Amino acid sequence: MRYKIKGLLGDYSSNSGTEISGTEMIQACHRVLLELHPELKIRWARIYGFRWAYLLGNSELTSINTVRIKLNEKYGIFIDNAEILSQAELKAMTATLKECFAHGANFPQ
Amino acid sequence: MQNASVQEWMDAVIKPEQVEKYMENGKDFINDDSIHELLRQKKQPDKREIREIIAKSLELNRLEPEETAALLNCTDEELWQEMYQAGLKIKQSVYGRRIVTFAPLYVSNYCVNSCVYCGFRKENAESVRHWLNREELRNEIKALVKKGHKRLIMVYGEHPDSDVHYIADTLRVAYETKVGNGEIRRSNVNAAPLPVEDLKILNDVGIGTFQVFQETYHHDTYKKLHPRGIKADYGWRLYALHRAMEAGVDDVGMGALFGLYDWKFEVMGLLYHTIDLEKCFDGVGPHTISFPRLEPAVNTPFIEKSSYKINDDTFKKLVTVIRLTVPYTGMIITARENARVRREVIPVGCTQLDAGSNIAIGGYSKEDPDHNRQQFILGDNRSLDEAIRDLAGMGYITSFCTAGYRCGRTGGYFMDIAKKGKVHNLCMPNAILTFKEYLLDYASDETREAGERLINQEIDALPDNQVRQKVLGFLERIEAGERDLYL
Repeated sequence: MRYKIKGLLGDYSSNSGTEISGTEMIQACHRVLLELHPELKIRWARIYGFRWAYLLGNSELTSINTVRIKLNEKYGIFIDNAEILSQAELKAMTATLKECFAHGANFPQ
Repeated sequence: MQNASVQEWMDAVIKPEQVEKYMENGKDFINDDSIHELLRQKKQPDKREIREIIAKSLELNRLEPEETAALLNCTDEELWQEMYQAGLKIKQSVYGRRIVTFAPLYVSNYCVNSCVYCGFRKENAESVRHWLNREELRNEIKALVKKGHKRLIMVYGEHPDSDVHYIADTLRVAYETKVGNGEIRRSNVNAAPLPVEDLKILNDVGIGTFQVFQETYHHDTYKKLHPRGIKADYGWRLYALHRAMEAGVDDVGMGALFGLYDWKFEVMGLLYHTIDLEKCFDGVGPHTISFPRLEPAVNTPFIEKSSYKINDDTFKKLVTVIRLTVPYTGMIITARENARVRREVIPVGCTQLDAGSNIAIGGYSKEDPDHNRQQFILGDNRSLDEAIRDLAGMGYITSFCTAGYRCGRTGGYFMDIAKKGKVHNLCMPNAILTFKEYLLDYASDETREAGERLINQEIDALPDNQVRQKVLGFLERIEAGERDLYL
């Protein structure tokens, strides 16, 4: 997963010749995560202080065990069924996403 | 600010292209003639038709204009009783037995507009003008937090001294001010219509809901009542929420001021407004609808003269029709209404109210009831604690929950779960948790006792054992001193 996401990031950067947008990055990551774990229920959010505004993803489930992860100052992800991942998988996924989003911490909106 | 520069500022506010882009063939979505015609066509709805429409609402479907027109024209009291019951059922199934509670915070009352029904109109020399500086605002927030509030609606007049940068700064102050365990976790804004670029600034500082009321949807009446100022532009106001959604503020609140024009027309206007938002924004309509009634204001004789004022019975009916028309949308009843009316109307569908309200600028820190600093006169002056105890007696948990907005349950996602009747799965547990915090930190003994009883009942009523266990675990942690736990 780590290489897949990072590869995508590289593709976007080289294709556009400019900084990739946060939305493109999220769409790409969303696709990759669902390729790897088709059952995963994820939602992406844009962070504005207290407000985490919905951007993309699962709209079916209302989970009581949602995991909320801040990826950088602007973006976050909710995993509504993180229990389908092992602790190690969740940790690796979180680390990779944070790394990718740290790289693009100043994505334009 | 000097008059010349105020005029310069006013001239630059409206961006016609941000209105025209949403219009069809140069027309807005309110067609006065066809609304009147529809209300005429549906003048005598039969029983079967009304019952079919009620059934559609109970399945949480938004009504079409001809259906709402039929409900508005119903004259059969037996059917109205059925509609009240349906309103209650919808409220319980979508939102559960909880009421979200907030405080209005008037921040600035300088205004360039001349709304004839408003105590803050530019020409009203008896209105004492003020805008809060950071220190004054901090004192207001502290006073509110000390009472137990977690949610605000911050209110501003339209004036260059309270422009978007001022509003953004006051939101920052609201969020950064803490007192002990307490803090404001969601600040909604009621302000003048803004251009998209200004709304993006408010979005960046974490605005909750952006609220703009059309006041009246009837074009000619609007023109008469708003003779001068920026607010004289009907279209600029009508598309304020479209621009907010475009800017990314995905929770918007609409409303009409009942008493300015025919109440049935205004309910139809709210529906057409909802339909147009849903059409333009992928099914996402208003997060909340408000239905304030005209109330007396200092040196504002128009209010006494208006022939469109409605009595309490009609008010209950219009709230019921709104509930049935948009079953999944939050509905706000404010402290303009007295306690008796609120008790009567909450059960037919209201989901939010304000309590312990003081609408004088700087009024919370001074405990000041100065009417000359108020936009209108409040009907319900009970303290937050009294109002909460009363609601508990009616079987309603007071919710200070702000979890949805911090968990990405906004805009399209919120609307989706609301339309499927799933909001209360998470909101009732969160209501219980925030209510517990209130009872421990702020309530009187009497309210705490009533509240604890209610919490126990609601825990037993939670349909899912896993949720119940989780809530019980969180309640223990709250008892032990933790705060701000939510699902």
